[in-house]
Amino acid sequence: MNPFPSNAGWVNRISPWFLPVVFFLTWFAVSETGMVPTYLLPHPKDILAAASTYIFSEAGQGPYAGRFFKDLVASSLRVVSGFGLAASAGIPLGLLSGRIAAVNRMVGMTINALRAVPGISWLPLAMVWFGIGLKTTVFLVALAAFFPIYLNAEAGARQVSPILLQAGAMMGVHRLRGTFAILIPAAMPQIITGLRLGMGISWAYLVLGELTGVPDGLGALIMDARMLGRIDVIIVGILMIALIGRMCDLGLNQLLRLSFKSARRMP
Amino acid sequence: MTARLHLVDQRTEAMPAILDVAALSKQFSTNGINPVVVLQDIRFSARRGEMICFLGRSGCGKSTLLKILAGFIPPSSGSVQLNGRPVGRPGPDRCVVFQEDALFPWLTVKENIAFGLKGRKLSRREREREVDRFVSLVGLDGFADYLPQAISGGMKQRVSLARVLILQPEVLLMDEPFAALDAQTREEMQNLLLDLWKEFSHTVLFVTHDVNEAVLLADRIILMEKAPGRIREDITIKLPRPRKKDSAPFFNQCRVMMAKINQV
Ligand SMILES: Nc1ncnc2c1ncn2[C@@H]1O[C@H](COP(=O)(O)OP(=O)(O)OP(=O)(O)O)[C@@H](O)[C@H]1O
Ligand SMILES: [Mg+2]
Repeated sequence: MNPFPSNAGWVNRISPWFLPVVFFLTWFAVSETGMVPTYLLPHPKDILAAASTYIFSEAGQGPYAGRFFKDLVASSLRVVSGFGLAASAGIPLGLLSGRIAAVNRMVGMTINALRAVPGISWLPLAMVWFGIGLKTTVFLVALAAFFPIYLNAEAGARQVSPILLQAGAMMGVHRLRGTFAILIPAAMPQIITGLRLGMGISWAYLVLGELTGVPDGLGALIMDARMLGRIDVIIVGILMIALIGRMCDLGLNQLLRLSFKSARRMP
Repeated sequence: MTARLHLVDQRTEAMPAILDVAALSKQFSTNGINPVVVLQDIRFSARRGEMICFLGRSGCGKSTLLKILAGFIPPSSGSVQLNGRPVGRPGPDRCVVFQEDALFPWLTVKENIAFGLKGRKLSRREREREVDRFVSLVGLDGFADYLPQAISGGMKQRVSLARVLILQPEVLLMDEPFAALDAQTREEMQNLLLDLWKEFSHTVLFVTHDVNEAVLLADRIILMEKAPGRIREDITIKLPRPRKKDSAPFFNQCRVMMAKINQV
């Protein structure tokens, strides 16, 4: 099952941290020598201080102090709403389009044409339609996350071996029940791939949406900091998004494994 | 058709016909211009509890015939009747054991066997008892919680058998179910099938191109010819059961069948 058979558990456990540690040490060393001016790349300890102010200080005690929690909630809400919309449209439509030729003919061309439009081109239109804030961001996130979710669900449904569906049919499991008992479990690996890609892209478009001048959120934080020349805060924002994005990915995976046998038992 | 059916095994002599196939043909048109006739004027009937083997060269349409009987594909013409009623979409009254692995890889042995019972009105307890019984019947005690990827090909076919037998099908359709197994495992599976058949006495239509297998299992062997796929001969095998593969009568019967096949 595991494509990388291991002989030592702890090596596997720490190896993902190898690159971040090397990166951090290099950064630290470079900063110590003073080769790079701090207005381009601040010292890691300044970043740490900025992060700690941002996360732990009481709100109002200075710029950015204690904003983290509010930003996190605002951004997460936007991501979850957008991603949820994308998943609830993308998975059913993808499954239908992968199984039913008529549906595929009807929606396939349109979806692939829309997919060719870079997400950022929707920004001006979204701002006109939805103004600045929650709705625009959710719209952008949903739009961008939809495509990988749809395409993977479609490919997954298409590749389900007909023999599994025949086996189900002969045992009296047709249509709707077959969809839940056979089609979705059999397409699960691709559905999960789509959802994970969609989740990743959601964070990217979240920042895009929040760059438009909303008062809160991690994207807003970065934009704000850029205006004020606070490069340390920009980096804190980037690190936070990396961290939270990764946690969302893990959480999504965990949630799917909890909810679906077929996700737990994926080869 | 009726003339041939005068000779029937004592076991099934008194039984009425359960499955009636009349004037069945099937053509595929891949390019839309030249349809290929794969089955032509297939007619036979099967009695309740009969074991019929279809024997024929590769490409003579054996799998196609079974798919039509199962309801996976429609015939081009002709009719299939089960208990006097035309068959429709696939259903648990006529179940298939496929040659290839058709188990659900995300379900354990036990869950695979329980799959078709889900829609039935059974209490949880009854269902579990039934599943346990069939796990034992096919000799998979101790493997109930294994996933298909962790069991051998022979064991997978045991699961395939159990998951359909548990539904008490009227007709069991088997498409070269043991062809991919090694000789020893195949023999085990043949004996298992015979044991289960004795116990449940369901009607079995068994496709094979192994003469030995056909002679071991069949009450009747239906010999098919190719291009177009037609029934060439319908032969009743009168060897007493249990049949011994190393006995002289068995050997002779195989030789006779072999000669018939070589004429096709
Ligand atoms: N969907 C299809 N479209 C076109 N031709 C088909 C289709 N299915 C089967 N055929 C053709 O029908 C013929 C019979 O196929 P079938 O699989 O029924 O043979 P078979 O007797 O089961 O052979 P084997 O012993 O190799 O399994 C073959 O020539 C095949 O090419
Ligand atoms: Mg075949």
